[in-house]
Amino acid sequence: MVIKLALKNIKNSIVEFSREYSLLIVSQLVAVISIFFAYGIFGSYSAKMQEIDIDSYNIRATVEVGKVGQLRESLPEMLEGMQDRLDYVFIGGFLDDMRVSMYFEYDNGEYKSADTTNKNAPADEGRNISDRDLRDGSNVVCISGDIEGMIGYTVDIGDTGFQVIGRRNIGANYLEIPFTAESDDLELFVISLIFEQLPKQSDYIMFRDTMEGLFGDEVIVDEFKLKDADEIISMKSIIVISVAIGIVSALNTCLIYGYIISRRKKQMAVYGIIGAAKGIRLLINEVEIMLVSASIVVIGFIVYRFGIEKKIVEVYASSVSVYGFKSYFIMIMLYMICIFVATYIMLNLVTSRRLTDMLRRAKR
Amino acid sequence: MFKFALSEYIRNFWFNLCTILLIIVIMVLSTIFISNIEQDTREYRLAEQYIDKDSIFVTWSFYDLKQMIEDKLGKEDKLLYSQSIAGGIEGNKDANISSLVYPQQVMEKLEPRMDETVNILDAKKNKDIIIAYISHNPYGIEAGDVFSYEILTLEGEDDGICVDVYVAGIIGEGQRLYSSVGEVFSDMVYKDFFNLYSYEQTGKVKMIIPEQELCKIKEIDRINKTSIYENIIINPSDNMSEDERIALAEAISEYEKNIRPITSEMVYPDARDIVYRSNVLHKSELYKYIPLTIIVMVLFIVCVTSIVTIKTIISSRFYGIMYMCGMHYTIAQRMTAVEMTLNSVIATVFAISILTLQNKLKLVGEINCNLDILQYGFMFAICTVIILWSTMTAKRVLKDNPPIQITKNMD
Repeated sequence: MVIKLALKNIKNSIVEFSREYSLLIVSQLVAVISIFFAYGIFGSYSAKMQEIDIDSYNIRATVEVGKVGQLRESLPEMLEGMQDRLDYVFIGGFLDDMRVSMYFEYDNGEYKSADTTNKNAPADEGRNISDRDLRDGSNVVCISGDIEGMIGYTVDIGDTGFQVIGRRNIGANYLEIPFTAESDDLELFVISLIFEQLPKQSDYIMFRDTMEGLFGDEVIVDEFKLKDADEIISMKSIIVISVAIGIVSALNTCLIYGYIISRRKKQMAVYGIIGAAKGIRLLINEVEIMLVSASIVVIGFIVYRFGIEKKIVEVYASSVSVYGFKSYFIMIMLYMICIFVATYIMLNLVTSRRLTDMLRRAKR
Repeated sequence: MFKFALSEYIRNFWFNLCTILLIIVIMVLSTIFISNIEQDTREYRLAEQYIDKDSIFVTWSFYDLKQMIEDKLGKEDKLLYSQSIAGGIEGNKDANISSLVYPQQVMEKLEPRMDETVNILDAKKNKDIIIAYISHNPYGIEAGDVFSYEILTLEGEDDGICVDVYVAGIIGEGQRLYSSVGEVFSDMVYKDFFNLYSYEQTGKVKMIIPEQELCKIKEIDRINKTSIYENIIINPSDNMSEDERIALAEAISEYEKNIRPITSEMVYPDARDIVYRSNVLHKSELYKYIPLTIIVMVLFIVCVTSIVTIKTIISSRFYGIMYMCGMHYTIAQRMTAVEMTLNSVIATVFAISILTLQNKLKLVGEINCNLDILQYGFMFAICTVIILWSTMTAKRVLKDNPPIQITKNMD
């Protein structure tokens, strides 16, 4: 019965308040599309800012022909001057088709396990490589994959057996060993210095000179990039604009709903006089609002998903895909919850216990 | 009439509050939007005046070449260069501070972003003090400080020129300055003429001195003659014939060969290619603003329509009754204008306050939200549109409909 009444309300409103209802439909449609758009901008630019951050705090060299063993002597001298700013070092090598990674921190002549990578990628079984493994130069390995029960087994990397101490569920054919283990013959592919504080030009020059000194023409050292604060400020500004778009959409929708709800005082007073409890009166109006909002959200979703999204993704291309079923679902749910909460509060404010007060206010 | 407008305003308190909030957010949004476009395009707007299809570029030179170029150019030809001065703190040989002398057009179009600024009114009155902007530095020099800057000439270490410098601001990190061109490579675009600078990452302390401040120094001629002129861009006007242009380019080339060997890394690509690639890059950067502009415009139109429509509807009954009692429709128009003007003024005051607070306190971090003539103009335009539209709608409803029809529609 509540739904029937709600539908009747909608029909009557369209006939009696055609102008206001048209404005409501158009405003909500624009608000829904704006919110999807704003979300896309927000996600895309947040991802771009992270990419810039990663690039700015990273110095990298790719080695075409070289061995891990060639780094051992020069690395401490190179890292000595920059250890205060350094977070960790990543060395990537390979053997046959197996990728071998080494992560470590450098602290006053000692190699330690990289806290950042241990926190971001903890072992799903067993343990990560520890400070002791690095100190002792233990031949231990952390493997990847979803085959359980490998802890304690020995894996051959080259001619050396490495004991499996941990497993991660990420990727496959991926091995992590301590830098100090027996790995001199591993083919070196990449060396990356990841900094906590912005790297200085002197750090880059030291890194480049060391790499070119060791590997000559066989190394490509990435260009040193100064952090472009202007670009980051521009992206932050666009993110704030996207948030403001969301706020404007929300305020506009509240404005129109506030007006429509204020016109319902007489109707709700009449319902109350003929016996409807406050809860029922609220429910009838809420059901009407949610039905209208849900219909508009579905139309807005279809228009955006199949008409506009492709263009937006082309213009604001980033490596991260922000639009997916899950993200649309969350946005729609959040939108409906916000509409429900806002209109519930407005309906409560308008619905007074004394029906005579409501009738008197309705005449104004 | 004013009393009626005020009582009507208070009667519709919630509507007016919502309207004010909406206008505030629209104004803040438009200010950030315009400021961001301005900042993103400022290098291009400066570069397009100088980088043209027949521009000539020089990486660096001494005073004599710069003077020769100036002598050969006419009034309509354009010349841009970055004058570089070596120097340091007087009495401290290890405190190196290199300075860039910014011509007025660069100072206006490419005003450096400052992390800190101070008032310069008092310093401006003192004609013996130069007002300059310095980067973050290890010497403890901060905004508002005065220090003795020793300009090193090429004549000798003991022949430096000492000037008092008032630090009007601290240059922000990670921004593009008009200084040396750095690397010359084959696919240069306009951005490559403005190098990124960071004290934190390079360790080099820089100071920017506006050209008109440098003119205060008595030994300005000596300083000019011993400066290095970098990133020289010559844009001949249409008055210069092709032969004259080629002659100038050859004279420059001959000069450069005499002072240093020319390597392939110093040869600029063709100016037409630079212009073409720059235009492509600039268009691609503006392209991202098109969807934003469309969404913002559509939202603005929808919001103003909502405000005006609801305002008209809620006021029509009241105006209809007053109309029946003899009030002329123009009074209703004026009352609407007064109400919407009050909303607009309150919203503008709050919007400007929020933006000023943001600039001072960085409430949401550092973003582009400058308050200049253009931004104020847009705020004024928003207010004008809302006030005029409301007034015209009120007039249309009252003038075109008899009073009985108005009150009938309101039941």
